[in-house]
Amino acid sequence: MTAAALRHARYVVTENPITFVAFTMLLILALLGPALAPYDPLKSDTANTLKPPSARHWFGTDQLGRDMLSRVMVATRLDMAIAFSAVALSFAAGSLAGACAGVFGGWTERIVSRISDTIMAFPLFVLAMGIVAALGNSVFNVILATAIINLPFYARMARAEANVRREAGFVEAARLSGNGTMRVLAVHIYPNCLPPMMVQASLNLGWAMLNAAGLAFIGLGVRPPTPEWGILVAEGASFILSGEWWIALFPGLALMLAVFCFNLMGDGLRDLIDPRRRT
Amino acid sequence: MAAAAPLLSVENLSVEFRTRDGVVKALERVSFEIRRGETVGVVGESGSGKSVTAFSIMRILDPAARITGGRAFFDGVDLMAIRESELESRRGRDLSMIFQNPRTALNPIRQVGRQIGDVLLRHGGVGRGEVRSRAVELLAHVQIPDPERRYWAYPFELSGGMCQRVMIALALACGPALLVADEPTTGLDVTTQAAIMDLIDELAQAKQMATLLITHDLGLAAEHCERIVVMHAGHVVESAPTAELFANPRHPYTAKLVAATPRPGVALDDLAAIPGGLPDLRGDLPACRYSSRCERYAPFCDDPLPVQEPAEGHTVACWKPL
Repeated sequence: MTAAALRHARYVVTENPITFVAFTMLLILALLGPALAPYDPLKSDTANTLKPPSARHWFGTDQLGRDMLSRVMVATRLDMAIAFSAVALSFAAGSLAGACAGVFGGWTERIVSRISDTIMAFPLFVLAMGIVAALGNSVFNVILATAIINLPFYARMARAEANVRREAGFVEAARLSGNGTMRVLAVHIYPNCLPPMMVQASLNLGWAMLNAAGLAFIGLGVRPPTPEWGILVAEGASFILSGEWWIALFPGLALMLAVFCFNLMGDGLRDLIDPRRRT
Repeated sequence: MAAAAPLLSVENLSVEFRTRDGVVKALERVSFEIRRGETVGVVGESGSGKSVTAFSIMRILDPAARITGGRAFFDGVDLMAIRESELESRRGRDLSMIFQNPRTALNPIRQVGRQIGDVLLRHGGVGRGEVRSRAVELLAHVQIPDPERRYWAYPFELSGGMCQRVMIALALACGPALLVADEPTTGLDVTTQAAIMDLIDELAQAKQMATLLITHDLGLAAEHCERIVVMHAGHVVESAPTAELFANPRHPYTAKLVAATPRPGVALDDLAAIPGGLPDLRGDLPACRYSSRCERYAPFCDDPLPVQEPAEGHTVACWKPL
């Protein structure tokens, strides 16, 4: 069993090499970023302010002489953490609520659907801004806001998937072999809804990251001098006009690559989760 | 044997479906019995209520369906009256069911061996440590080659016949007293059909298990059942031991059905199709739901139907039996 699982994992990796390499890189940076960074990301160096990329400072330096490469590397952890926890939160809550709505119908379904509809009636980014503003300006609240605005997508998808499977033959068969509603839901319906939802989740990681960076860009959530890609871009934005393009470009590129990687990951994850694709 | 109380005794079971355009009277006063170890066939054309009967016994009807009357005594307990939780503990242990389409009846993303293990853990009184070996044993029992390896197979990796074997292993895992087989071989090719039916026969005999075989194939029922119940438009029209039913069909519908069944020595051209179709089961229906198709119809056929017993164990619901 474990051998088969390992073989399958290797297959998935070799089928999606770019994704794998990019994701591994992100993961390494997230875990070891501070140790790998060549300079202290917070240490200013007044003698070397606004220097363009060079052999000493690959990504150049900012207005306080801080090394941009180090700042971009160290920021990976925070950005990934925000995106992952936000997605995990909305995935867990949304898929559970949605699956229950799809299986039980009636009031459960009405309540879950109306909450989703209400959230989706707002422009999502504005809603996220509002939530962070109302709850307080902290990283946790950014995660919470991102989770809330993504909730409807999971809830609706899980509801639709569970609804289709409620009538499936194997669900009937499971009931016939003596399983109660909750067990049928947990063992038979819910796991069958996961493969399409995993794709949604990995696409969502990209959106969540952009959303968090967007909030930071307008000054919500993470605050300077903490390195975070959205803040780095915001800080660099004012220097683009005067020709110091590197300050905004590199964090922006990092952000773009990460989102791109998550989008590619959707396919790989589906391969990993759905046994029907293991051939 | 005849003196013993029947294992399952369905009495006057009536089921309705409440739909947007009227109440469909799917079953009306359906009665039949199955004794321990006996194989009983329920035959009839599509829409005659065979599957609804099976689903009613297992109580897994669609939410739109209502059981409006009747009882089904299984081992002395009325299945229509017991609580859902009690029913859950009986399903899979005392009564099991296999379906028409084995492929959709297995969870597509769970290994078949573990699905069998689930049932064992639920009912079988099997310890966690033995579940695996017991499931492999069951797979071997239904003649799946290389059961050790198949334990880890997903349903999509198996053929239709294999899936049906797994379904049988699943249904028989806890040694039920009654197996309801709803068209178990319809989706399979002819050779697999025979193998699956032989397997069901053999296991039923070995375990003294009663089988309710639901099929539209009278030939299949003749081959495997001791008694046959003929259904038409939600009524049981005739019920008799197999040989008796074929030798002396009393209900006009049964006679037509027998005449329409291919058998050796009869040219296909000589098979007679039964004229007409099932009546609309909504609204008011005549007492005899076959009357609109019947050549023997007479005005008094509209009086409430009698149940006549022309021979021992042979009942027919008709005013003018053959």
